[in-house]
Amino acid sequence: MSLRDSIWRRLPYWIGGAVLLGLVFVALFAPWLAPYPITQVDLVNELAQPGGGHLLGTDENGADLLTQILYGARVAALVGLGTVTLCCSVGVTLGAISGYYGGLVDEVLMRIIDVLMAFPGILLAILIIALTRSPSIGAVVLALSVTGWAGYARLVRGQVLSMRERPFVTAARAMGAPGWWIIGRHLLPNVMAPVIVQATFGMAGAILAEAGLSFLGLGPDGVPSWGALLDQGARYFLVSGHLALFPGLAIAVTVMGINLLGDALRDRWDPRRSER
Amino acid sequence: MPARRRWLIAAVCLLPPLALLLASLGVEAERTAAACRGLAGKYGAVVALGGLFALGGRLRWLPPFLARRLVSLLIVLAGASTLVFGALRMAPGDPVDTILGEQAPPEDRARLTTALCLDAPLVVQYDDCFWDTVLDGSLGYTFDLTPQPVIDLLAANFPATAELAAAGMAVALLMAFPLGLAAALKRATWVDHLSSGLALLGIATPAFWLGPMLLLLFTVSVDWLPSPVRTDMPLAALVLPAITLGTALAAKLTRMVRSSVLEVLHDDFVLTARAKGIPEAVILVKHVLRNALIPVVTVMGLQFGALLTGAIVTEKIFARPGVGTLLLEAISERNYPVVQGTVLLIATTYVLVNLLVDLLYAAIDPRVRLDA
Repeated sequence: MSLRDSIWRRLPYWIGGAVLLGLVFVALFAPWLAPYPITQVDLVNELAQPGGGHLLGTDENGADLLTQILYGARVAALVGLGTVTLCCSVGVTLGAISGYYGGLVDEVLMRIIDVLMAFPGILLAILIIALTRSPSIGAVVLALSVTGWAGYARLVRGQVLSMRERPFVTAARAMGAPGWWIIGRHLLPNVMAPVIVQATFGMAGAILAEAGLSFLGLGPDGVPSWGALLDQGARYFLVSGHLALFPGLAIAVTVMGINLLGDALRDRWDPRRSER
Repeated sequence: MPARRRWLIAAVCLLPPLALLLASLGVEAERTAAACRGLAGKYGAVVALGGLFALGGRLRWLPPFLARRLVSLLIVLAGASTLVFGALRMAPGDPVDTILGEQAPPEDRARLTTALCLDAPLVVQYDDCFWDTVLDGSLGYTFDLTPQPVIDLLAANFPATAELAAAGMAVALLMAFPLGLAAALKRATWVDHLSSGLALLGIATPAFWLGPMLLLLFTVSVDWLPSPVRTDMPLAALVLPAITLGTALAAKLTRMVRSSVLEVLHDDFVLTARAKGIPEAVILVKHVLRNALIPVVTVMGLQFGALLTGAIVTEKIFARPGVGTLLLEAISERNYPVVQGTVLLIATTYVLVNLLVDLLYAAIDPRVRLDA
């Protein structure tokens, strides 16, 4: 492999990793990075075009758009990471138990998962949020996780099933190791690669879903979310197109970067795929 | 499946209706007991129907793959409707407060509470106020000054959404097949990179951003397309919403078409066909595409739900009537029966489409019919 090929192959990692780290960095340090305090409005400069004192312009109240987008990264990062963490912990635990022990637990759990996966998840999220009076970020994470864990559970169950009869597991069992130990010590470390790949795509999906909910007016209350910014911006898009343009770009770049990372990780851990 | 396990599953399925029947004997309140009996009957009917399908598959008077699908269809529909009911009942806050306001006179509140079925025990609510409205086909009545059956509202709004979803699917297929095929046939060239890049972009672009941008570009800046709210040019007005809705799906399908074409392109049967001197175009259509279609059709079916929920956003962007607009209005007015009915309708459509896709799958790939 030439140097050029090698760089070309690693590019998705770098870009994807940089976007993910960038998101976390901006989310952590938004108050220091933002040019204005989040509550400050510039009443003289309502709907200002990008440039001058406001790099990305201002909204209809004169609030700085860049500041709001930087703070919006907090919502995106919290919802993305929160949803993935919750879904992963529930899904991996249940999937591993279901795959390892089998039997009735497995049968019942798989039927529940059938139902959840047959239900458009975002619809259930809309329903749950719609019924919450003033949804918090936690509520959005919960709503997105209600169906989200099912995919992880099914994935881990399949992996555990295929690994359950391998010699190293049988050996552990023969030595008298308890089930929870075998799952935690021997099985889970071996099934983590596809879970991490799925988690990466899951995070991108959660960010997109949160933006969608906020666009519909069903996002977390009282915090600037990219979807909500876009919704407000779209109302003024004839006079101030930038108000919808920049939040949309923020969403697209973040989601694309994280997906790119997911693709790269999948290619790395599934050599059959990368050859294609 | 071993016989012992089958019996175990049957026993577990029969437990809830038996428990409900037993409970109805122990409950004093007549209404609750009646609801328990009603629920036990309904649950029993579902289990019996499922058993009938499963038996049909075993005795071969139903194709086994169809029997399996019908059983899981029943489970999914029953589960999904219970999920919707549960979500509505677990919601914090009193719907009466949200509808009438907290200062409403107590007699009005009491009347509404009874009308909404909120004063009854949960099991009565589930049987009388949920299942009975589903089974009598009305799906309940709207909460407003002129109550009408929810089903009428849905019937009036569903065609517009179905039209949009179908148009979105058409756009997705029209974009995905040429792009995916070209990428697979010209692998590792600029064509492949361009197509993969476009697909990545398409997946990451939110519909609620693409829509306004397309609108800005095509109806405001260059005036090529009419405004999507115009009713005198329905087809032209559908173009931008369909592109908005179909792009994300197109991106996913493009990747799918590419990878599944690549998978079969070098299979032995393609080599044989080529050795026989069959023209390349015929090989591509009759051998490669037909086999590559199998995973693509599955993804299409699975993504149909995303298309239906995506229609909610698209309808909002373009101010189109439809089920999505109905749902959002019902949410903001706290019109619970409409919310419940809309969600049930979307979920049911989604599940039925998935069943259709499975049947289509069996038509494309005869192997599916054999290994049931």
